[in-house]
Amino acid sequence: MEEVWEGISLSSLHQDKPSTPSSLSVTAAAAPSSLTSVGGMVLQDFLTRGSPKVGRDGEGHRKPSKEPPEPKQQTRGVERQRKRMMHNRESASRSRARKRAYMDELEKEVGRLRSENRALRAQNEKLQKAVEDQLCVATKRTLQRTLTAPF
Amino acid sequence: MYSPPLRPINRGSSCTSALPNTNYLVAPLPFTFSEQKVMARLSDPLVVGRVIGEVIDTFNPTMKMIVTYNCNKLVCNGHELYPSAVVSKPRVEVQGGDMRSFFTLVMTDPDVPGPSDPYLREHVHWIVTDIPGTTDASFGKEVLSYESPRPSIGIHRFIFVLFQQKRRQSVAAAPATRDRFSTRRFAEDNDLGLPVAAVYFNGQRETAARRR
Repeated sequence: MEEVWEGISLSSLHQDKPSTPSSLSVTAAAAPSSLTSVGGMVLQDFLTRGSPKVGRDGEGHRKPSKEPPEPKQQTRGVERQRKRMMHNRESASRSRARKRAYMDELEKEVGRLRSENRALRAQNEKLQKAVEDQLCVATKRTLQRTLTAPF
Repeated sequence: MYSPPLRPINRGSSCTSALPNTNYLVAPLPFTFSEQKVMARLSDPLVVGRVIGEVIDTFNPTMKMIVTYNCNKLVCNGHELYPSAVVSKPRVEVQGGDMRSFFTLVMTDPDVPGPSDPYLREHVHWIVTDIPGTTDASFGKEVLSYESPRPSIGIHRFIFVLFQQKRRQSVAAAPATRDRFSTRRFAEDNDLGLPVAAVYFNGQRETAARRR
């Protein structure tokens, strides 16, 4: 999901748009039947710039074409909304990344603990066995000594 | 039933907190060793959390670094710590290397003033150099004193990066300002190379809404 927004960010959106608002109204008037434009860029261009595999998402975002009553106000409002959407999208993506990173860290920790546990248990068994063997050997020796007593 | 929080706060317990008791003697290995290595690369919290990429480059973690606040709060990647818990400098243990190798620690926050618009990226909180291997940061020279994290906007990442120095006293001087710091540039200027260890935690305003 994240790859759609690769390369598209709030900052890149700002860099690409021209500064004068007059050009916005010109572009809007020139292409009345096309998609609403933001900052001189057509929505289609904006989407295709980001990633090659955009086909399905491009169609989903197409807005019905209509002539805005107050060109400057409308485009400014649309622009603000678009900025907010971008902001929200980035924030959501950061939040998802945070959640994933936390989960990954937990999984790593669990794996590490399991293997440590396994190693420690194995070591414990080995040591216990060694202690037992030592005890057996010790008792055997004492018994033999009493058996072989001359009297 | 209370559901587990999305961003759990590390209160007095470490990452290695107790897991529920299991009755098996030998745990079956879930993945082969090579699979584990591949998985580690794919789901590295440092990559997923965008630490590798925005602050440092991909590196090979050759040293083990353990950062602990207040003797009991261990810093784990992506875990959250309250600002009140990180007021004083943590204990940073460098495990690995020997007494003759020296390390530099940098603590930085790339999300200043806020993660959605970090125009002051990065803000450096702490720089310690000449830390001898197998010891901790208190044995090094504090080039830049520890500044308590006080995030005001959003959720910040606070990253500890450890570099191995090529020789002793190789770090020149502290930067003039803490803002607009660049860990990459700092490493380049002081010939530190790629990091050898990194860990980060998340932090936000003390009174921020955490469980919406």
